[in-house]
Amino acid sequence: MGMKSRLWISQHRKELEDKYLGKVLIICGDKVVKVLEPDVGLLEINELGRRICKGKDWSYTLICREEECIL
Amino acid sequence: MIVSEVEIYAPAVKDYISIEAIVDTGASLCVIPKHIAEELGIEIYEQPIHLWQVRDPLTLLKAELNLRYQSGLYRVEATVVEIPREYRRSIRPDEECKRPSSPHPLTHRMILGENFLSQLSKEARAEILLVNPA
Repeated sequence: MGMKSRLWISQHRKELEDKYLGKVLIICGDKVVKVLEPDVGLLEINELGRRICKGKDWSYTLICREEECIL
Repeated sequence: MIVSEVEIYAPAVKDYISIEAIVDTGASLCVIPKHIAEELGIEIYEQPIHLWQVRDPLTLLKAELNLRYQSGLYRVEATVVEIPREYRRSIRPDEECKRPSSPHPLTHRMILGENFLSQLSKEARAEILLVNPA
């Protein structure tokens, strides 16, 4: 699990929303290293994250407008 | 909204993988979308429930999840919900606007409810709740 990347995502969510709305991002530390379409599968996200970040701290996030949606 | 992550056991690859999660202290149970459970090879079962308000039993879809957070392992029951495929993508330019424009928040996420959160140590619970104090 990437707690450093997760913290960075939470601190930059608004900027990410402006730039990458509707995308899935793979974050390595404090960098966006891959932008994916939302139809990608969770297994593929994990495979890509592990491969691109090679043992480093990483996370992924889905960029959606949370306030638009009723869960 | 608090967005964090845990690891979930995926029988399809016989390994734990990362999953982004909405932390919901108001939810009794965890929730996992059906398309994610199916992709990860997690068994889904039906559970009939009887409510006095309705005549016939309602059938819920449930799953048992194995989660990992920090070094702790947790087995939790989850409600399985179906997110229609057309809600798991952004709205198209020619599409009539009857839905949010961006993908559904559970497209690649699950919900962590109290049946998971209550098992965490005081320190781990504090950490997962403060990861994203948005």
